[in-house]
Amino acid sequence: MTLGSLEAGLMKILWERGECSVRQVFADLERPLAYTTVMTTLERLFKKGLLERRKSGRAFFYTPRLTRLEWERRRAEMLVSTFLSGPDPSRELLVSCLLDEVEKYDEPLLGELEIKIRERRKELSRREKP
Amino acid sequence: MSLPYVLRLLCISFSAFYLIHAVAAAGVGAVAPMVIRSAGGMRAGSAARLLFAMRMIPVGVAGFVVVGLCVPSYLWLEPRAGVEQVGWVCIGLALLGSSMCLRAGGRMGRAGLGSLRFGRFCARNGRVARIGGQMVPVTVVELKFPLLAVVGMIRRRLVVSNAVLQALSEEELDTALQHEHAHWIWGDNFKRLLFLATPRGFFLSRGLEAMEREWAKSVEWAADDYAAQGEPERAVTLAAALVRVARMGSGAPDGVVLSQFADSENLSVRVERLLQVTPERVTAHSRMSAKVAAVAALGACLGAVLMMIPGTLIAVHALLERLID
Repeated sequence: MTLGSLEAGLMKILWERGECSVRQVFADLERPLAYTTVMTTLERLFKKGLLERRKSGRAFFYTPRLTRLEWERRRAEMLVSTFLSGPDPSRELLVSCLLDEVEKYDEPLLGELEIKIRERRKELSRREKP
Repeated sequence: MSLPYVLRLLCISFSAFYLIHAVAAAGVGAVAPMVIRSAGGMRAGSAARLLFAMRMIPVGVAGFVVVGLCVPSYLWLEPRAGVEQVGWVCIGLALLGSSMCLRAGGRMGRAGLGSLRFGRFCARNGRVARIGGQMVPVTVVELKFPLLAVVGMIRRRLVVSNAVLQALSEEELDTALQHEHAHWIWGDNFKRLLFLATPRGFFLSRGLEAMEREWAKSVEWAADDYAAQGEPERAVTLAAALVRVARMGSGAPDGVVLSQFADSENLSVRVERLLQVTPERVTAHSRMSAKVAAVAALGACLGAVLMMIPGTLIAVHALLERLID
């Protein structure tokens, strides 16, 4: 998910000020915009799941769902996943990975492998002892 | 040099490339099952070298014949003032050859651009650190899901997500980074780029693509062997690191699949293999790599001798005359 410049600007205000009404965000804008544009953009950010809102009287108050750091991390993960996902990305991306597939391996298989690793460790430590 | 003369040269080059590549691919494809079987009985590193060399034969032979023989013979023997017509068969083959080369170029371009972007992203969003006794600096990126990889080909980066840093013990991280270091020093990403330069998706390519898949598996095994250094304790530590990273896969965002080669079966095969490592002396170069190098050197010498014999170029030109008609 990417943010347009206006959306990013509004998110910046909300991250700095915390909960705000449309009017408060409108007042903090660096460049002049129509009130309805701000309202629509905040509505869009709410629909994208980036903002929470509560109604107080006739006005909506908006709060970011994620901190800026959390948002940046999520964005980084989304970017990486876009880079790495695809039909044959490791070759196309010229990436050599430790474990080629980061999928959800089935629990029994991983458990079984861990048991074997523990047994092998025990066997090796027994051999080391005189 | 007139335009029709150059166009005829291009037409001949692409059609010859297509024909020679098809013949060589058919030959290598026919022996592919046998090569894969033999590779199965070799050390992983030797198997990877053999499979890589075999996979590159069709494009190498076709490239050598076109650049080393067809182009010189045309430039030397074809009269520049001639108005020779090019036949439809030759035009058709040239179209097939050029589309094959264009697609390969497109794949390489996409891959290069993708890895460049990904590398830049890692550089912007990560911090460079020296971890343990690693020879190369590691770029640590803030990601919740596991990433431990060598990214790029020219400006390579060893990238690790902080999720992996936190999850693995010092020893596990050391062996895992050694595994990646093996890919780094062997230039595996460059080999991946060369694979992309080879034609694929045509009717004779099935055997070649099977060899490519086997190469990908062998090269992972070889990197495991490099990281284990013939020490059973290190091998077990690497196996534990593999399973731990696999467990972290549940934190990966949907759609993050780094490759199609390592399914659950491959993970368990790799772990089982590592658990069977016994103490042994690690040799830097095996007999197989010496054999592959000797065959390549012999091929290069033979090619050079062929190019120097005038009769070869005359014979090649005669064949090109038949092709163009």
